[in-house]
Amino acid sequence: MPLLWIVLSVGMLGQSESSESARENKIQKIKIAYMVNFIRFTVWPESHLPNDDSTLVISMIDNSGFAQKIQGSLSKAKINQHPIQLHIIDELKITDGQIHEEQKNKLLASHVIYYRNAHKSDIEFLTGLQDQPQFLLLGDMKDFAEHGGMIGFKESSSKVGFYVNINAIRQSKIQISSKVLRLGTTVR
Amino acid sequence: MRIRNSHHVSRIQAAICLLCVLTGNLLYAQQKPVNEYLNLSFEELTNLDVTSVTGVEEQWFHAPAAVYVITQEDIQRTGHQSLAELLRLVPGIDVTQASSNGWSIGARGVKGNYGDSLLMLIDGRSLHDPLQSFISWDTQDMVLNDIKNIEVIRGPGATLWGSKAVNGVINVTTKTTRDTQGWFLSGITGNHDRANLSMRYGGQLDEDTYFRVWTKYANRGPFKKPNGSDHHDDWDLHTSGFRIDTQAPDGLDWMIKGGIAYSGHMGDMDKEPITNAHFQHNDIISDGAVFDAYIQGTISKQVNDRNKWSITASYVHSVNDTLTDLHLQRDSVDIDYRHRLATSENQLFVWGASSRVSSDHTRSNNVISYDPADALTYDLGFYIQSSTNFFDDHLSLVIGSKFEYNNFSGFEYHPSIRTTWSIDNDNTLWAAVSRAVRAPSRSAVDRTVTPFYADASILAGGPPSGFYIPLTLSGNDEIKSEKLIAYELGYRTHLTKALSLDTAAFVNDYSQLISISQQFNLNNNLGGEVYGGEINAVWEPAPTLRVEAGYSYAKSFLKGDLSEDVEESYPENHFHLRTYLDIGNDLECHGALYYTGRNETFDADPYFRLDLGLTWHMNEHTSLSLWGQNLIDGQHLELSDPTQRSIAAEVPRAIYLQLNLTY
Repeated sequence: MPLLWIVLSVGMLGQSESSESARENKIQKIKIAYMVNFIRFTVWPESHLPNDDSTLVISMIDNSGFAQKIQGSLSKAKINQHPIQLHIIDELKITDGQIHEEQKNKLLASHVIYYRNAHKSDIEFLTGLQDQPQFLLLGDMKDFAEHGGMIGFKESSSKVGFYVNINAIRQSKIQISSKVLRLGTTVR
Repeated sequence: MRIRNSHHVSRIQAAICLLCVLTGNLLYAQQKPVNEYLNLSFEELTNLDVTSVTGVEEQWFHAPAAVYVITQEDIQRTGHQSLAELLRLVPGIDVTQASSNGWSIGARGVKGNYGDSLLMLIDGRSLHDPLQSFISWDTQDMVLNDIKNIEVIRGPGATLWGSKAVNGVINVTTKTTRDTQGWFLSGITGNHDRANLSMRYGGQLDEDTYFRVWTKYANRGPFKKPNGSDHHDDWDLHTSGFRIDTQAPDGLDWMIKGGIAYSGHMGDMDKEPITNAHFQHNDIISDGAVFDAYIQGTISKQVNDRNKWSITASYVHSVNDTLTDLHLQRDSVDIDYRHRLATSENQLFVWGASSRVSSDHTRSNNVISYDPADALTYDLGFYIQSSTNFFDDHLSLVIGSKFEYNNFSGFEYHPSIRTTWSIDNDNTLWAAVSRAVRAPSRSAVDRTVTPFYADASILAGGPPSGFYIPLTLSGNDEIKSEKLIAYELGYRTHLTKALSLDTAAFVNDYSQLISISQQFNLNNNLGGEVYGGEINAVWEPAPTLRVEAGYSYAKSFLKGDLSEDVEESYPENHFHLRTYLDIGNDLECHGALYYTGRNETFDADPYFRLDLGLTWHMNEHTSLSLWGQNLIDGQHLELSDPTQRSIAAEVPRAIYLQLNLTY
């Protein structure tokens, strides 16, 4: 069966490298692309992001090294005319139920907080930073949105999607387009 | 006799040249981008994989086939209330509504002359009816809000999906039950969609197991006769179903779903031949019934990132009593095994096996009969496909074939070779050559149709004799498979961050198409070329505005029996323009303009169709929509029997109101 032979022969041409890191890398790239789209569809209070060209600050809580990898490219980017500044926080420092003052100030100055591999117990510290948060809170953890985060990524075998916690968004000062809310899966 | 265009080859060359000119400035590969997904829109991200084309996860933008994805947002913002109508969004697909409950759908210049040439799947379950060799578009209904997306591939998909997917594959994927938790209620009322009520509830059984149950009732009014009076094709349909998903921690997932569809009121105008008159029949108002039930189970195991397999099995029981005295019943079992194995980062194999066994039982009427009345049919298949990436993923090669054995035509094979050149982040060129075969079915081999009686003497060219003989079109057990060699070329580009373009050109070379001779015999004496192309542009200048425009062209050059009729049975030109506009956070405006060219064979003039809609999201739980469909004309014709023009069913203008509640 010559056709079968061709199929199998062509298959052998591939190089033999691990695909696990490639898949993880792809998923993270997709999540960053989602984040860029979330930013495009979000309006911050004028007091927090006054001008069209004001710098937009993203704080990424991540100790995997991924944030460092994307820092160069993201810091050079502009989203809706806003220059991007990326703060990397290795891990949340919490003592006596309080986030360290320096970290807290950094987080409060942020427009987006992306908590990769979040700990469930840490989410309430972030949501409790302000009565009406002025930042968009994203996370990777399973059930991140159910536990109070605004948008939580979800991964299936074939796609990356996201959950939206409408109550958390309504309690904040940011406005997210209804398009985002409808494209995501709503949790309460 | 019409003069045919004998210069079509030069037109094909011109089309290919045009595509080359479009891509001519892009012949320089660039470095691999840091993040090739950054410029993608929400819609593109949410639909990032395309499992239908190569059977593996694949970014739509780089898929080596003409793929169009209908998203849930499209479903909500176009106002269509059936799967068949939603296909109007796809460039290169012709959707013709012949009656309130009857659709004829084809792709790229061809509608199956003796059965559908498209395959439709819902969550991997084939909807192809092996007895009548078509898709019952009317009974394929569900809560449309539960659809995740609909991937439509124009062109052959036979390498993975077999001999039913000659001209395209429609792959409907529904949401997982975890994504449909809580209540969803929808009510529609209008002059055509008189009542359309949907109810779904989703809940959780344990930490990893979710379910949903749903029911829907649709009652749709009649179309109009040319004189403005009501036709007799009003109908209703009850559908209900359930789905359970479990994501086990060890990576072994399973899904089970089932459903029924029932109508006791499927209005139609039946025709019964008059046995003592020359070429005459009586029109009989029929009010038939249909019943479909299915159950489906899928088990899948993600062994690791490189290795995944799945088994899908389904059982379908179908009863069709829509035509007077005719009874069609079938029971089908489908089993499909798929295995995806990555041997390296750049090399992926997809292989699998499938089988279908169908047992049917028929009872004849005066017009249609099957001989034998009961039969068992089957087909078995095996496929393997290799996907290889070269040059840092800039070039990919997909090669494979399905090998099938069926009880009508025996052994068949469906090879294809596809390649994608990802020039850079924003430009993709792809090409494909495929062979696809559509095997005969019971309707072509065993069915006899007697639409008329004729005076034997008049048939022989003499005076009336008063001796009438039945004019029958009998199945032919010598009938062979229809064959297609398809050549495709496509190009996708992000012209700017806001504007993207998707183009495809094709040449389809058909042979052995099933046709009918002047002596009223079924044969394979039809073949030739169909060429054409599709172009679709999406413009999103702001997050609140999306504009999409698509145009498709298909021209047939066939030789053989009925060649002219088949050529002219598919409109050459289709066009659509759609806009989605958000006004504030709570108001959405939707508009769509569709154009379909003339269908000469079925005597339908070109028509424009305008749909407008307004949706008000009253709060997070409630939305209210007002829709107007077919607003340009009070009624228009999409298909008719030219000899029966006075009783053709014309599509009426429709207005409806929709209330959605989510809790």
